[in-house]
Amino acid sequence: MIFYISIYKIILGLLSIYFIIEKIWRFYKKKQSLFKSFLMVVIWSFVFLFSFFPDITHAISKYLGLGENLNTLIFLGFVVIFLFIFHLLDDIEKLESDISEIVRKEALRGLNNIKK
Amino acid sequence: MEDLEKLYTSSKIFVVIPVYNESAIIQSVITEIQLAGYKNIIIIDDGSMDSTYEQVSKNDVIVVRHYLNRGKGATLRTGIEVAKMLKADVVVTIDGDGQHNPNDIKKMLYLIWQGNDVVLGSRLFNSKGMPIFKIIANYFGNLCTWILCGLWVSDSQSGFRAYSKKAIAMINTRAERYEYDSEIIREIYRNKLKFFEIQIEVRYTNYSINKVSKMNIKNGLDALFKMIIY
Repeated sequence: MIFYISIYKIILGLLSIYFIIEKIWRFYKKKQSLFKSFLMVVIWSFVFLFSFFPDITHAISKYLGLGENLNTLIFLGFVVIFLFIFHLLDDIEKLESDISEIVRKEALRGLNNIKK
Repeated sequence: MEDLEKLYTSSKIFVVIPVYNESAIIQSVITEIQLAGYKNIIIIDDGSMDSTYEQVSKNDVIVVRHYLNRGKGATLRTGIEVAKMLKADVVVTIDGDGQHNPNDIKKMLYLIWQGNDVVLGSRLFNSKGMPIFKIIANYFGNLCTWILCGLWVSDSQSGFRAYSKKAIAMINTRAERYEYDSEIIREIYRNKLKFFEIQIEVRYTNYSINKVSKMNIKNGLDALFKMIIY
């Protein structure tokens, strides 16, 4: 197997490493759950692996009996959709939390008058 | 024992009641808690659309109102925040639908005095009178909580609990809705807090069983999904 380095491999590789480190860091700082961090690390690890060793997709396609590479593209499409969904869930979670915080602050505003 | 008597009569025991559309019953709940000897009552109205807020405001209690409905978890967090601001030594959370007996609070205080950080009221030590679907749902909730939070408890969804000062300082929750009860279990496990479960009396009335906003299959699945994802 001849190993070529191209611009797209470098970009994808760096992006994957950045996101893998970022997800581990977010889990370490308790900003993301174990489940979500683990899933994101797995997804970005695959992106890293596929970008440097695209032949793996052929092997996987063969192994899974998918045959054509188009199927691999569809698989990658699903990966992208999953990434979008998880980003959306992240945003919704943050919004929910922000709304509650605003409501809480507003509710506690009058409390100074009744402090015992 | 003198210390225990002091604790029973302490002015630093706060009873937190989250309420949402409880106008039909909230007055009797407040009166019952006051008659049991607890004067520091914090009511958090989670954006009720009926006359709950007006009713509770007539009593000698601390009332805080969410102007938007944010769920049980967010409401209890606000209540505990208020108790912290008022320098509480013990915080007791109790449901606002009248299903819990305030006389059980004394047993909880005794266990806190014995050195426990959290006392969990359990409806399943004696499930007599409890609807069968609730028993099954509770066991399923306990199983999910055990898998996801690492601690087996007999009633992971009970809202009747007592917390010491140490516990309220250490527990840090993010849950907004019904997944809050399980998140507390995770916090007990994560912070290695000492806890104890006691049998509590539960009164299943038509009102408490038929209440629309209570934990049901949809809310339960929603809570499970949030526990997994978040």
